[in-house]
Amino acid sequence: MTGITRRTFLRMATTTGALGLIGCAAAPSKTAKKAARVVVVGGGYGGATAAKYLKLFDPSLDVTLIEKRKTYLSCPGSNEVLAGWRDMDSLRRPLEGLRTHHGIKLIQAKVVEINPQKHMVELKDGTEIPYDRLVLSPGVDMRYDAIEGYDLKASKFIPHAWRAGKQTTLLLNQLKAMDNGGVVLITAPASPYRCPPGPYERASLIAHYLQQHKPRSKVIILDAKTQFSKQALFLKGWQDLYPGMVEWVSAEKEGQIDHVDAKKRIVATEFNNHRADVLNIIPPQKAGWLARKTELADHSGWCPVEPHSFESTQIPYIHVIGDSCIATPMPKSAFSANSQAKICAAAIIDLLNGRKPGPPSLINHCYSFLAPDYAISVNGVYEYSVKERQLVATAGGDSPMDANRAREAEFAKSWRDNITADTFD
Amino acid sequence: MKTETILLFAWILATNATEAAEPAAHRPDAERLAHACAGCHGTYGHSLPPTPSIAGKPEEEFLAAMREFKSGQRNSSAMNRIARAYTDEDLAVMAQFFKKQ
Repeated sequence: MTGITRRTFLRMATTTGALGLIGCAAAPSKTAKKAARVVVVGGGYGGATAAKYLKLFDPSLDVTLIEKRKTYLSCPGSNEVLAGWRDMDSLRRPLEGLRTHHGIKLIQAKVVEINPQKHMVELKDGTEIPYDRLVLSPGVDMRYDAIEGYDLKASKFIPHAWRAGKQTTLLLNQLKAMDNGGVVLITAPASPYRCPPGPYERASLIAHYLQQHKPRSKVIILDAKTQFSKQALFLKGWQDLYPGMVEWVSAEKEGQIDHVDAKKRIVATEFNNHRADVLNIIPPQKAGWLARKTELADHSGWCPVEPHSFESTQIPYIHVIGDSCIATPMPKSAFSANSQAKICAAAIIDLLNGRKPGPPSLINHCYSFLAPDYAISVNGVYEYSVKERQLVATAGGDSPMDANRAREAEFAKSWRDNITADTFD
Repeated sequence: MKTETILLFAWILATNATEAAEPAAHRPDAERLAHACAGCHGTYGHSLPPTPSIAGKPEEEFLAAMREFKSGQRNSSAMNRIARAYTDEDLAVMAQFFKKQ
């Protein structure tokens, strides 16, 4: 502005309007400014989407994505591995496209430390990576202290299978080894947890496998809740597809789990002992290790964030998205993480340019399979309520009871293709 | 008039303009509204079938479809529930966004 004379100003003001000039003058000079550094930790649905959209919104940004696994394995789809119509390989979500298509720097390493004062992320080999803004999408950890008798050691032979990978294979092999007439017992946790309809989709797809291979067997769900996601649709589906094979036991009937005898595969509730041939304990969960270690989680075990930006309310310049964050009433799902990542990315661009992030708009849309040609869905649209000072659902719900289930199954497959492309390509 | 005065004058103009724009800012902007759709409809609305692509869709077509989903005149297993969340103003902004893709 220093070189502008009164005459120049007036000429510009009259030809472009004074606001036009201010707009130009206020815009950051891209050539003079060093590219802002955004580091994203966690290459799942949240982290990958955040990295991609940061680059789409501002290609000049220096974006680094750090993921500890060689290839991320998708949790959506992992119940279909148990059904027997999908293999583990199909859950692989390579991150390479993010580098080749969008110029994101990829690092395969474990982050061992975050220093919020120095704005530095430290890798296992000692490398330090500086950031202007940090995005964490670390998923969930199991609470191995929540159920007596179910700890990390017990999970090596009694799977939770709530993260795709070895745990999924362990449960799959146990189902394959079980005799006809066996009982598969699934315990479902209280809310909030990753993928609210997941335990019930799993029960459905295990029933699908059993119906084909071990038709005298049963699936029982011992629930810590008295109601569950897409309940009416699941109950109808079980009646239609697997009559007498799937039993849901409400907390109202059995009370909470008292303890688990992992060696004998017994779950003791307040009122009864339940013996299983295959036992799948889905324990309560908490924010991923890195988020808790960095003290981004509160007493609930999850990370409070500001809904316009998903910036932590505990530590500035760090954003938490996906399953680890508190985005009530959004469910913890891959789709929520994808949607939150975009709001977070847009907010980071605003913050880096000295603007206040505008109001967010988010969607969740999830399918559950009950059979290869039978699916149901739940969705929600969310925005910020000034009055309630949090996100609220402005629309959404379960798919209609009389919807075409085969058509929904087609869309469920399409959902997988599209969210995979929107997140990882 | 000195440069500082001009700057001050311009700053006041800009501030007033921001305040004037305040009511519109209560709704999410085009990018925030539209990119949420990409989870199903693909990045910038370019989807893989059978989910319909909405990139490049004529504004009127987009608006008509959304109004019909909203009113229930047209049936969809997913869109009836979603369309109801958006104001006419939101839909107009989204229609413009996808038309340009």
